[in-house]
Amino acid sequence: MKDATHKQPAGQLMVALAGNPNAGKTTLFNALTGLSQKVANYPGVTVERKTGEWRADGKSIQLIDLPGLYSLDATSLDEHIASDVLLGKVADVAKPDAVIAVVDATNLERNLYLVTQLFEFGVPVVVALTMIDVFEKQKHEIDIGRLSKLLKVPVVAVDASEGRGIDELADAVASAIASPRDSAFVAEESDSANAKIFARYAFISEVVQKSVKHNDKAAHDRSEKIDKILTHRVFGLAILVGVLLLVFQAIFSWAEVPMHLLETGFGAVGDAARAQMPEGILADLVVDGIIAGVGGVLVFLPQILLLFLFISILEDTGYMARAAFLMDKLMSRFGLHGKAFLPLMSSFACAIPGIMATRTIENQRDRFATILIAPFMSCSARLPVYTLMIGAFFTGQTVLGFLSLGAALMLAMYALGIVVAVIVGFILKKTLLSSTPAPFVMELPPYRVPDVRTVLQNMLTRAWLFVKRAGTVILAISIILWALAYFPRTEAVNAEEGSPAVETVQLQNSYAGQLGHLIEPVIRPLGFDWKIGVALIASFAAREVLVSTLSIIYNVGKDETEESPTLISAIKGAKDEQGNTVWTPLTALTLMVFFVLAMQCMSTLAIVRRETNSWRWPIFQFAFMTLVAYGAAFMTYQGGKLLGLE
Amino acid sequence: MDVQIFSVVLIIAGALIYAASGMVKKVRAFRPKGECGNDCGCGSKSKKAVQ
Repeated sequence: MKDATHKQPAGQLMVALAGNPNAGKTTLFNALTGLSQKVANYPGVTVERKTGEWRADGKSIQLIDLPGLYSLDATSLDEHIASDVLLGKVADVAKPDAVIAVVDATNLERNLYLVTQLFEFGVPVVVALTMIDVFEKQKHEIDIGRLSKLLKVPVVAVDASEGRGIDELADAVASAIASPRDSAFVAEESDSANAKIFARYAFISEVVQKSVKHNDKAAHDRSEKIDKILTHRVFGLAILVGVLLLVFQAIFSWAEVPMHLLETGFGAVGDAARAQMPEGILADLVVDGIIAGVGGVLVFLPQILLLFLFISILEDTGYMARAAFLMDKLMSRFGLHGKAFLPLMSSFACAIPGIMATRTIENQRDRFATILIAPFMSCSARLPVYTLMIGAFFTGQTVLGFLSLGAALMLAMYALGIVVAVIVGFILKKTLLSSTPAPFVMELPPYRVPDVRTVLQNMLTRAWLFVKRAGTVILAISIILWALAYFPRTEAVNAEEGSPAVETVQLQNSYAGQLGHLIEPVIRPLGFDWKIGVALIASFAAREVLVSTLSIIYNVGKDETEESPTLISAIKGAKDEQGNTVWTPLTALTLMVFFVLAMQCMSTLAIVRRETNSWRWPIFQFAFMTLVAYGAAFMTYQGGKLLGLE
Repeated sequence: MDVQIFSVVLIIAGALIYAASGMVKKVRAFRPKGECGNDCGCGSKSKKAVQ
């Protein structure tokens, strides 16, 4: 329903509903208006505006629902509009006679921050306290009368879904309008933005201390004690590194058996399909294209399951927020916005949701800087590449006598992405995207035992996405790549089919082979041959396609009478035309470094194009990431060779 | 045409169509938007909004 021209009848009271997102504002709005809301946009912008009629004590009150807000700093559009509504500056919207501040009791400090800002608008405020039942279940008690006295505004506990407190709220609004009180808190106009924030939180802290009783003090104290260690700038970081090493170590050791079973299983399926099907092109497609391509990626399912199992556990216990806090300290030293951390954290799963999450960053320059560095975070699509390389060349070795080299390398790859992101972010913030860092407050959730259901659900959701991708995008690309590696068939090859040398020649002469040879001079300084070149080009569609491409190339290039080898054994045994070993540990390390830093993802570029509304940024991002990746890979390979590594 | 070749051509054509439709969707995402909506990252920074 559009209501762009809606006007308030003369004499009708206007009350605005303000509150943090998820504070129960919409539930209360619906309870008060009986779901009779009218939806429109604020004039000139696409921010939704909801209005409705609230019948209280026989009087008609027009209720306007402001956008969900954390503050009224007027830095984002939502905050700007809410400020304008409260000041009576929005066309067709009368200045409110009162504001109902919906406050979530379980997040009292954060919610009261907005309330202290509402005081400054000179409009009577009534606090509607929601989630009281949850708050009490958490073993806290709140003295509502005392809270009301300290805030100098009426405070009413409401349960909108049950209809409790609604009449009291109407009385409180009427009394607040009839006899407005002085504000309990007004920030000094002369104070800086940071000083105002600290003054507000000091006031809130005093109010909460005097009105809330925590009966779980022991647990609270314990939590604070744990935080003193886990968020310590030295011990905290050391513990974070230790936790990540343990996670990677577990991923490698626990996934080894299921991964081997899957590899053997897909190999057996390929051999069985070859045996059952009549010899010919269809059998080649099914075995060397579909089974090798999709199976080559699906064998990494155990690693993906374990990675997301650990991420979910760390998130649900509250530890991930502490890790975010630690990293934020580090990033802020390099001028990155505090709000950049959560989008960057999301990018460890996939850069796309991470980039979309940058919408919470108000300053456009900060937002673009975060978008440009988000793809440096090692997403889950890189995991199969790292695992393949580590599995082939770095298993069974230890560092310092006890630490698995594989786990250490995996951590090093994640760390490399973070370090380069911070450096690039710093350079961007000093040059193209310079701006003053905005203040940022991070809320740390309490520690808790992880919920098994939530953890399993998160893990299975991510695993399903991985399997779905293997069955759709990777299947399609595998078929196309197989065709590129299989055609054109030459007469000479057909005449001598079955000889390993002939298969190799066929692969070299294929479209994929021609493409690989075309780019070989560019990638040769990185230690990569043309087969790796083909895989690098294909992986632009999706990073994990590198694995399926190598799987297809080594399957197409083998003798048909051979049993299907595992990809790891195929890579280790691969020889070039002169009979030299193609892959060495140094080649594997170089490829991993390239993959950490390269923008090998078309979907990410598409989302950057959309989010920045410009071609300039995705092109710039692709160019600088490719240059950085090439430079780092070149230094790794050539530097390694100079040091005598192989 | 041989049944095997026919099947392979069909499978490759299917894969190409699937990949091409995916590409078309991505190219659409690359296009600039005429106006800002809920699903537009630039929405909160549109010129209109700033005015």
